Amino acid sequence: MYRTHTCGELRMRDAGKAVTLAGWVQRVRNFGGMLFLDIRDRYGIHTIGFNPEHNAAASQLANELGREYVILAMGKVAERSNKNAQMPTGEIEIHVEHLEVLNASKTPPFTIEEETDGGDELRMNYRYLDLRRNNNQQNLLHRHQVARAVREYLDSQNFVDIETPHLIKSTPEGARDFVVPSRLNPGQFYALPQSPQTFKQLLMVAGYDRYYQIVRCFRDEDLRQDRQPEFTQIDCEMAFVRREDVLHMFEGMVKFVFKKVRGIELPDFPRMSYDDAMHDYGNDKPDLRFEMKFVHLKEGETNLVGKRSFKPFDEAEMVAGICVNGCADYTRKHLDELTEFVKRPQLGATGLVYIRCLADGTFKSSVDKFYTSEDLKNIAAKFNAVPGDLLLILAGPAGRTGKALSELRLEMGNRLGLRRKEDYKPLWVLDFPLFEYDAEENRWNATHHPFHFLEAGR
Amino acid sequence: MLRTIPFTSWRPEDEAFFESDPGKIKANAYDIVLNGVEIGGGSIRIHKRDRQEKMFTMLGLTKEEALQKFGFILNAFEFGAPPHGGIAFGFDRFCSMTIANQENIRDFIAFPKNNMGRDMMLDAPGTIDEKQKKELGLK
Repeated sequence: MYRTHTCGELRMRDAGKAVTLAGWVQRVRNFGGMLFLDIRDRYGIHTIGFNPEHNAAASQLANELGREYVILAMGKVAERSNKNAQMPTGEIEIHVEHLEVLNASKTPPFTIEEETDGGDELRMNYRYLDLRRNNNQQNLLHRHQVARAVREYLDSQNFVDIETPHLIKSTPEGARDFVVPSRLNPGQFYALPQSPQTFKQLLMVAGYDRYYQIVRCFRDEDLRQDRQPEFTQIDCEMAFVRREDVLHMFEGMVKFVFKKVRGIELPDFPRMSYDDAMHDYGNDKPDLRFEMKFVHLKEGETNLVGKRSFKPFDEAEMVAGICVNGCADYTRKHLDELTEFVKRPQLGATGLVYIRCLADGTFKSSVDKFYTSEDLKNIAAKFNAVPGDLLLILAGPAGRTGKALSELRLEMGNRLGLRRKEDYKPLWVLDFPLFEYDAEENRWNATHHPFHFLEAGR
Repeated sequence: MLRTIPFTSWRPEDEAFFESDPGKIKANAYDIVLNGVEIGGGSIRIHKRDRQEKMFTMLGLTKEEALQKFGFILNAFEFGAPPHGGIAFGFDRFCSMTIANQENIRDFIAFPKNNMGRDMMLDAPGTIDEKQKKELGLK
């Protein structure tokens, strides 16, 4: 071994030890006579010091080092006179007696720091340098820990890891396949799997009643932001199970991973039907970190907005809104921003109606001309609104309006800081429709499929 | 062209809707959602040939097309296929979500591709030489 210790592990208790470290030069600081250098590996950073009066050769060599040189340094661990509480290794330094350059480095095209000065493209070109950055290392180590925890859980539940082939038959369903020409079968092609779906079902037929695989999948798609043509799936299948068994097993897996990797105990996952998710959140993957459920004003027997000659509401299939706590003082400018937000072509709402619930119990709305204060009071009651609340209401065709209101809800969640990074709110969504009608092609499509989740978070 | 691979079963009580209103049939399917992001999904599958054929027919495949494309699994269902179901999680996404809700999956892949599906470092995809093409019977 080139080293006796890694760069993250020495502490005060090691003072006086003779050690050998190997790693990359993070930076060099020259204080006239004394010279200090940070040496980095994936475990951390140590500061090593050179005193020209004690060791002229090593000091001379250290002076010639650049960033990212690979070096080997031998010396003694010593207490620092000038301790750095920011660094885990900040109480000690190593007084170098011998220094070797294992390899020189060109000046890297960007700084190897958490806050790097390199742009996306540059960092992609030099991915091996980008991966030296601590945040990337932490992410890959995290991935490793998640995979370990997944395997530990599934192994404990008698799942068997079975590999399925990557060269398979092309079935031009679903997304586009990546194809591979076959040399031995001229003019014929394999496809790369979009998922091991049929293989895992065949493994069930074969009697391997609990199967899993952390497996690469391939889809030749037009790439949107944050999609990858090859991606990894935790693929699982069980025989002799009902829905309840599968939910229980994999809720257990997610809980186990969070506990093991993050030390977080997740509560039991609530369940919601697809219909309820669409009705209450306009979304089949609702963010439950905050409430702000849809309130429907025109539904079944209920119509709180009718007979007042306000056409956008009278003619709408759906009139619904959200109650935003404490935002009654939103200015004209704020409200204009939100109106522009819902009118974007992607959302396509025709406008936004607001009702401010004022401190004195009265209401101020963008539809005062049409609705009496009694009307507004009834509407506010439907929202369970209190003074200080702001009601935001959209109207139009159900599908588009639900989607726009869903996005508005998420936007308000962002604005009010309700989507906290440290909160985790998992749920099961159940009872999807099996088919949806494709009016253009005049036929039925299956709505739910193994790749469904890849639509997430795009 | 089918948009999906249709192996998901349906609630037995919805059987009658196949004739009357297929839009009302509920899938025996589930999604796991975390903070507004779908991290996994799956279903209880069809495990009988006649059910699977009914599904293919519903999706507009002729008997011949179904056999040509999925004959292997239709046949397998005739040799004692047990009831089964499963789930798949997007692992890259799962990793990004389990660490402080980070959203960019690319940060959790050692060597990702860019938005054009290119590996910038390797400069892939690239061309292949004439000899390779010839061997593969490509023009």
